[in-house]
Amino acid sequence: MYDFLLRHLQPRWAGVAMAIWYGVLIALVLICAVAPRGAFTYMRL
Amino acid sequence: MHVLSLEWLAWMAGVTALFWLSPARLRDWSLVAATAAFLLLNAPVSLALLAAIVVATYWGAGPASTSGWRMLAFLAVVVSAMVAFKLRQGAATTLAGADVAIPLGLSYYTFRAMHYAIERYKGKLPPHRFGDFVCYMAFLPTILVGPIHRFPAFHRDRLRRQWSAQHVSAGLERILYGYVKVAVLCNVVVLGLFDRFIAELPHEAQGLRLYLAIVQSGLRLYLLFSGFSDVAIGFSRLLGYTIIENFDWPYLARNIQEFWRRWHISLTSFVRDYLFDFVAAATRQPALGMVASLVVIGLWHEVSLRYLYWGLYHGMGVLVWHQFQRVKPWLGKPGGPRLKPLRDALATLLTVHFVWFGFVLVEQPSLAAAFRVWSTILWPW
Repeated sequence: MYDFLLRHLQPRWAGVAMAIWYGVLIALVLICAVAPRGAFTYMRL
Repeated sequence: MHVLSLEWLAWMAGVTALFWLSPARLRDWSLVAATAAFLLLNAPVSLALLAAIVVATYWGAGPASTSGWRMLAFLAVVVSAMVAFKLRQGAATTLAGADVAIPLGLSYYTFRAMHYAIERYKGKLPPHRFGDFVCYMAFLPTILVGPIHRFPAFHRDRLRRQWSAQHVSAGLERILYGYVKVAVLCNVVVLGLFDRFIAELPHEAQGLRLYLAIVQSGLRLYLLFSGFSDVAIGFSRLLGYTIIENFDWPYLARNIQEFWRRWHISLTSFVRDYLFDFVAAATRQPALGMVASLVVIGLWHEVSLRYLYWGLYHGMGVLVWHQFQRVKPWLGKPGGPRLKPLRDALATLLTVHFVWFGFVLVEQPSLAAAFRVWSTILWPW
């Protein structure tokens, strides 16, 4: 994805865009992990 | 511990740190030790079975100079052991309605052992030692949910492997996408929000409710399984290995044969190489080879009637598609090149619905129940 962004943006802005993208995804995963349903409790070993 | 739990995340981080901080000659053994510790803590039976299969495969199956009967006897023993566990699981699920867990990772490491034994017998493996084979079989990232990676590619990576920030970055990104698929898209969107939407539909719309449940089930299976594969592939990248991809947007396939080239790729390529080619060459009936392959893929999940029906359903689907290819030239291309995107979209919709309707066979307790679901959806009046 970073390579794709580099083709369209300056390296600095590509880096910022990646940081925002990863930040959003990590935040979503963490929010879902503490959700009442318990996103990580689906599949037991 | 749960698959994809925060504990598993901690295991991945710890193992990766231990791996790269160990002296180069001890790295692989630190990984083998981590796998052994993980299985000992979570599934000791599986550890014992893995050790027995590693020893039996290396010393029992033998190289190209040994008798073919010895190799066949080895394959028969390994397959029988796997079938015995899967029969137990199938019987318990069908009769008692409860899940009986088979030893963790058994389906994957037995197939890896079979691949190794067959290729070694054919004399197609690169020069290696017992330790190389142990490292291949006890590769922690793929122990839980595959993919069924191959020995030559693994061994090549092992010899060339070195620390690379690019690999680590790609691995972390892949793990993140895996977690997003499972935790966000599957558990929250598909199971949580979609469930609520289905529950709010009027009770009279039984056909629509069942149809949406089928869609939900298809999305859940794909997101879960491809999410797990993403994490396994990402974890491997952290350790410097590039292993086989398992999914390639299967729900965008335009026909059922293409679907099977994009779904669980490591299993379908295994069955193609070791079963389809053999059956097709021996009987000169590729159709028989296709049906046999899809039945085996079905039974690989669980040895039970419902998975047998599922395999036959897909086998028949592929056969019908092949017959359709014969009459297709006479039908021409309605609408010409201008309507190709529409024809492709319709073909994709038809294929994905064929696949989703097939999942009913494995989710319902009997064939009659599956037919009831199909008839309620297709003829709700």
